Amino acid sequence: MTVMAASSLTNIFTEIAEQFETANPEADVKVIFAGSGSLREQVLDGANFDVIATANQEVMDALIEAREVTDSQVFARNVLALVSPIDQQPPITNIEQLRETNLLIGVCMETVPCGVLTFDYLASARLIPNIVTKEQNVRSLLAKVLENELDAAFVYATDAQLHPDELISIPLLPNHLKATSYPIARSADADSSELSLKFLEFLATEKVLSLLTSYGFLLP
Amino acid sequence: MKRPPSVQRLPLAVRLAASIGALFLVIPIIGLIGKASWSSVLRDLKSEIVFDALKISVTSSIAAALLAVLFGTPLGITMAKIQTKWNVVVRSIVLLPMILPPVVGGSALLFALGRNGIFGKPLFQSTGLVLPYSWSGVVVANLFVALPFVVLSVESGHRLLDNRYELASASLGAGTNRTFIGVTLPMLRPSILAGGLLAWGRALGEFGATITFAGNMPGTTQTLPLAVYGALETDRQQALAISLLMVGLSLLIVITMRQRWWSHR
Repeated sequence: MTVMAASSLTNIFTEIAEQFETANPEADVKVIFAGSGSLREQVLDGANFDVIATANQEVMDALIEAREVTDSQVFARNVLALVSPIDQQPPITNIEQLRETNLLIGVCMETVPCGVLTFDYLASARLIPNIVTKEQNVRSLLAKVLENELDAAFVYATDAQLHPDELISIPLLPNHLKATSYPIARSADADSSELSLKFLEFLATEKVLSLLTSYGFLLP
Repeated sequence: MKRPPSVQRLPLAVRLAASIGALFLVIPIIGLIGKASWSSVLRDLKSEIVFDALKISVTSSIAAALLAVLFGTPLGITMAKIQTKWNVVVRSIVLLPMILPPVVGGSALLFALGRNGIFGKPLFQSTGLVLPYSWSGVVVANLFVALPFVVLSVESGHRLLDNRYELASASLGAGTNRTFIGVTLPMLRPSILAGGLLAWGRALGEFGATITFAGNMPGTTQTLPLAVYGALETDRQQALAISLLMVGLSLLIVITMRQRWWSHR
């Protein structure tokens, strides 16, 4: 069974796939991670998959429209976070400091969900930071801020939580903050439909729900 | 009299395999041309993003090719002239960027020359210079992958040279510098040009090392290949149009290279 999942699901879906295989020894789950936009293009180009989880509804809607999937359900939500390396000098403690033009700020491209959230927030908060790179997916952005090559980056709350020893989160203004939804769907022509149905059911189990929460995801 | 073997006498299997090989290289280009909507190609190319990316691609690749010639030529000559047990080591190091996945090269550059890198940190602390996210960073990434082409071309070119000309020049009283500039370099001209053009072509197409080391910022570090990658997720026709532009530019380099080679061989 092939599961396609957004980059921001990398850690949690790796763990969920392992647990699913333990619970269903006959299942062999292969998870492909990429930015949601890239996943959409792969599917529209005919890539085979059984289950797909994207980081926003718009990407999924495009797949529904193309009849690649029939319907989808939201299983988790995530919010934007601004992170900075823990040894950043001088430390960034207030979002207003992003107005300083000498800071190196990284974001995701406008076309991927974390970029959509970011540019939404920036427009709403009327903030124009010194953006130096627009990365294709949240993982490559995270890598650059972890390497201390950026002063701050707009990632997901779940990413911030993954690296408590290396990154600090800078509070964002809640009234400008929106959440993104993670819909999941089965392929319209899934041969292993029984197994993919099982996988979707597995996502709704108590065990997975508490796993999602422990990673910092919000439940729908 | 025995005639030299001609192409007509090649075994059928060889000709068949050759055709498959050629076809394999042509098919993707046909796909590109077939999928493009020709009526809108010009309109798709007429955007600020494409114009900026073209400018960054052309300037950074030419800068990288010139630097590659400037430093690659002496390295190639040195490697050909001085034979020590270290040659194997040096050649392996020179070859490495050609084989290494560019994204690994980009990460290596980031670890070395990034703001927090081993060499980048003192550079940043003393001068405030940050290579990533800048045009210079794009040139550095390009140079890393392009330099080996000049070195190898010059080195193999130098091995084929008749060193009696250099000896004659020296015996007639020319000094080291004069022999180098007046005899060695002119004889190596075809190799240097071919290596430089290959380096330029490689730099123009650079993607992995650039995006990893220099990031992706329209107007600053986004080159044409990076723009194609971005456009694939937003505007397919624009991605196709930029791809066609890149095919055109690459063809230009290949044709220039052929003419160079024809006029010297």
